[in-house]
Amino acid sequence: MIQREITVLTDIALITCVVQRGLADTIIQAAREAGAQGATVYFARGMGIRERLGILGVSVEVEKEIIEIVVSRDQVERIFERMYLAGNLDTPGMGIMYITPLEKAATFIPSEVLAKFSTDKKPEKT
Amino acid sequence: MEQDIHRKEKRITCFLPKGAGIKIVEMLHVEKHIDSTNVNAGRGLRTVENVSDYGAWSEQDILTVIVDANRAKEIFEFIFFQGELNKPGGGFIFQADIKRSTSFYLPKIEGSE
Amino acid sequence: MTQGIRFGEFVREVSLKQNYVSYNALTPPLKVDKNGKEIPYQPAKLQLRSIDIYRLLGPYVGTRLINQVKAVVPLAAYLFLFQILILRQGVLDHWVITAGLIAVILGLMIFMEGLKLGLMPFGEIIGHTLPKKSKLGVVLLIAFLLGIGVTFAEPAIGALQAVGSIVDVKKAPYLYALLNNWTGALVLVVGMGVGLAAVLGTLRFLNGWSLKPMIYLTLVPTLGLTVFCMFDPELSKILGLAWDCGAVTTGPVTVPLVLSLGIGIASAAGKGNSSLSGFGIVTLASLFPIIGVMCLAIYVASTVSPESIIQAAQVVVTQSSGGWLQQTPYVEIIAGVQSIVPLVLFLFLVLKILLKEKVPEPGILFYGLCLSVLGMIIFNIGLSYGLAKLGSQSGSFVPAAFAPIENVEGSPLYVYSVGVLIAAFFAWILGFGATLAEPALNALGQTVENLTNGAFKKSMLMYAVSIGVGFGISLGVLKIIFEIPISYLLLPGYIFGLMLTALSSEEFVNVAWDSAGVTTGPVTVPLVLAMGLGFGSAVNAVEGFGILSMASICPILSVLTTGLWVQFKRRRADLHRMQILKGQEGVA
Repeated sequence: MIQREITVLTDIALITCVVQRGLADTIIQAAREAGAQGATVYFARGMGIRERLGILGVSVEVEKEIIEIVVSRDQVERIFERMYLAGNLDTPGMGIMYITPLEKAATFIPSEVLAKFSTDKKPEKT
Repeated sequence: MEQDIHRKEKRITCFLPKGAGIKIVEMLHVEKHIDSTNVNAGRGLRTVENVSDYGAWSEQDILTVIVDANRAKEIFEFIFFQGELNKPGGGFIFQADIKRSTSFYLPKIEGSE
Repeated sequence: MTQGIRFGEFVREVSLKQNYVSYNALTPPLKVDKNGKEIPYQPAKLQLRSIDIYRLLGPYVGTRLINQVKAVVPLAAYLFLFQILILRQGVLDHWVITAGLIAVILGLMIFMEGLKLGLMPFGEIIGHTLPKKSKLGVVLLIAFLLGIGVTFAEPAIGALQAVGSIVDVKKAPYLYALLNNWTGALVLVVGMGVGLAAVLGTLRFLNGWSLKPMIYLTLVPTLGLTVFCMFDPELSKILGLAWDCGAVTTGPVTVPLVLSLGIGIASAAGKGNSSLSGFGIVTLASLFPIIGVMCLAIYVASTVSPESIIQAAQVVVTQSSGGWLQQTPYVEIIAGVQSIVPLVLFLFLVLKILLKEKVPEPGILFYGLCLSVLGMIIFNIGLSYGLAKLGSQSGSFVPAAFAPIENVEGSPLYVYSVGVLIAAFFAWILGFGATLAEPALNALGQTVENLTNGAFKKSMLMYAVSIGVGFGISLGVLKIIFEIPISYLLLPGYIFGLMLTALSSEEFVNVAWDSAGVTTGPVTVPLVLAMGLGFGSAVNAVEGFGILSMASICPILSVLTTGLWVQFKRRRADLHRMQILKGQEGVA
C-alpha cells in the first residue's frame, strides 16, 4: 500500500440515545447547539413495557430511533445533559441514553486545521 | 491491556455514505477473511446543515465489525482508506473496547465463493 | 477556538444534578427452584390506575388526531371562507358538513393507524415469503390476480362514471359508449392493466431492473397512442377519460398494500442497492390502464359507428344519471368493507394455504385490520357528508366568478380575466390542501421515511407532491375553461418528465413516479370531479375529464425537481463545508 497519512483523534466518546420514533430531531438540535458536530440516526424496534401492558400496549410506540453522536471528552457531560433535557428523558418510557468510551477515531480533517495541531499531536498507541 | 484475557477484541464502527458499507463488507471478507461484519442503514447529519433543513439528512450505512485486538490497527486503517474517509464527506470511523465477544465465522460450503 | 467563559456560569449551565443508582439494584435477582434449575423471570402484570391509562392513551390518540386535524381543518376552513368571502355565498347544511368533517378526521386517524399496524405489515410478510416459497409462475399469477382484484375493490373508478353523466352523446359518442355500454369492459381493461403492472413490477424487483428504462418503454407507446388518438377527431375526446383512468386506479387501500408487498419482495430478492427499490408498481399501475383504455376505444371505434351509438343512446338516456354523491350511509359501509375485506381474505388464504406461514403478532394485526375497515367506513361517511359536499358546493359556485350561473345572483361576480384567475387560484389551493389530507400519500410518505431511516422526510415528499397537484389542478381547470386539448398539456408534460427522469438519481425517480399514482385518492377525486363537473357545465365543455391526469403529471415534475434541488444543495454544501472548516478547529 502507498504510504498515506492517517490522523487519529483521541479523547473522544460516543453518546447513544434510544428514544421513541420522531423525537430524534429535537434532541439532535439540542446536541448541535451544545457543540456536537454531527449525528447519525437509525430506526429500530424496542421491547419491554409494551408486553406488560396487555391491550393498552398498542399505545406504546415500538418503533425507536437510535441516535449516535461522537463528541470530544470535554463536551461529553454537557452534551449528555442537554440531550437528556431536550428529550425529557426523565419522563417514564421516553428513552434511555448512555456514553461509550472510545479509544480512537478518524475522519477527514482539512489540512489547514491539521496544521495547527501538528506540533502537539502525539500519535496514540494501538 | 494484554494481561486481561477477556479484553482481546475491539469493536470498530464506521459511518459511511449509502452503498459504501456493503463494499467494505465484501472487501473485509475477501482480503482480510473477516466475516464478523454487520451493516445497518441510517441517516446522517452533516456538520454545516440544520436539523430541520429539507434534504439536510442523507442516507448512511453504519458498519460494525468486531476484530481481534492485534489486528485492530490494521483493520481500522484498511477501512479508513478503502472507505475513502480521508476525503471530504467520506464519513467517520471509531474504535471502542469491548469486554467480551463470541467468535463468529462462516461455515465452508462446497462450491460457494 | 478560544473563548472566555466564566467558570461560575459554566458550572450553573452544567450542574444538572446527577444521581447515581446501580442498575444491579433494579434488575431482578436470579431465582432458583428446589432442583437448582433457574426459574424464568416473569415480569409482574402492571397495575394501572385510571390516570395511568389516561396518560398512556392521551398521547397515543392525541398525536394521531392532531396529525389529521392539521391536514383536514385548513382545507375545510379554506373552502368555507372562500365560499363566503370571495363568492359571497352562504354555506348550505353547515352543521351536517361540520359533523362530516369530524368524521373525516376520525376516519383518517383510525385508517392510518390500521394501515400501520394491519395492512402494511400484512402485505410485507406476504411479499417477503412469497418469492422464497413459491415458483416464479405462482408469484406472478398472484400478483396479476391481486392487480385485477384491487381495481374492482377501488371505489374511485365508479366516480368516473358520474362525470360521464354530463357527456353529450352527440358531441362525444365514443366517450359516451365507453362510459355507458362498455362499463364492464372498461373496468376489466383497467384491471388487466393494473394486473400486468403488478407482474412487471414483481419481475423488476426479483431481477433488480432499474425503473428508468421501464418508464421510457411504457411511456413511448402510451404517448404514441395518445398522438394517434389526438389526430382522430372522434377518438381525441376519450383521451381525458383514458388518462384519468390511470390516475384513479390507485387508491388508499391499493397503494399501501402494493407498496408493502413490493418492499417485501424487493427485500427478499436482495437485488437493487437503493433503499427505495421496492417502488415502481404504482407507476406502472397508473400507466398501463391508459394504454388499455385507449386500445379499447380504438377497438370500439373500429367496430361500432358513432351513428349507431347515438341511436342506441336515445333509448337509454334516462338511466345514465349516476347519483354517487347522494348515497345513504349503508353504501359507504359496504364500500368500506368491500374495498378491504375481500383483498385481505385473498391474501390471508395465500398466506395460510400456499405459504403455510404463521402470522406474527396475530392480535395486533387483527386489531390493525379492524381499524382499517372501521376507519375506511367512518372516512367514507364523513367524505360524502362533509368534504365532498362542501367541495361540490364551492366547486359549483366557483365558475360564477367569471361566468353566469343560474343559482348565483349577480354572476359573473368579477371581470372575466380576474374571475378566471380566482378560479385557477381556488383550484390550486384545493389541490394542495386535498392532497395533504390524502391517506395514500400519507402511507407513501411514511414508507419512504421508514425505508430511508428518516433521511427522506415524509413532510418534504408530501409538500412537493401537494404543490405539484396544486399546479396540476389549476392547469386542468384552465384546460376546461379554455378547452385546450388534453394532449397539448400531457405530451409536453411527460416529455419534460422524461428529461428530468434522465437527470435524476434512481431513488428520486422511484418515489416521484409512484407519487403520481397516489395523489388521486378518495379526498381529491370527489372534490376535483365535483369541480370539473361544475366547470364543465358552466362553460358547456364536451366533458370534464382531464383534471385528474394533470394532477398526476405535475407531482412527478415537482418531486423530480425537488430531488434535483436537494442534490444540488448537497453538492453546494460540500463546498461550503470546506470553506467553513478552514476557519474552524472542531472536526468530526
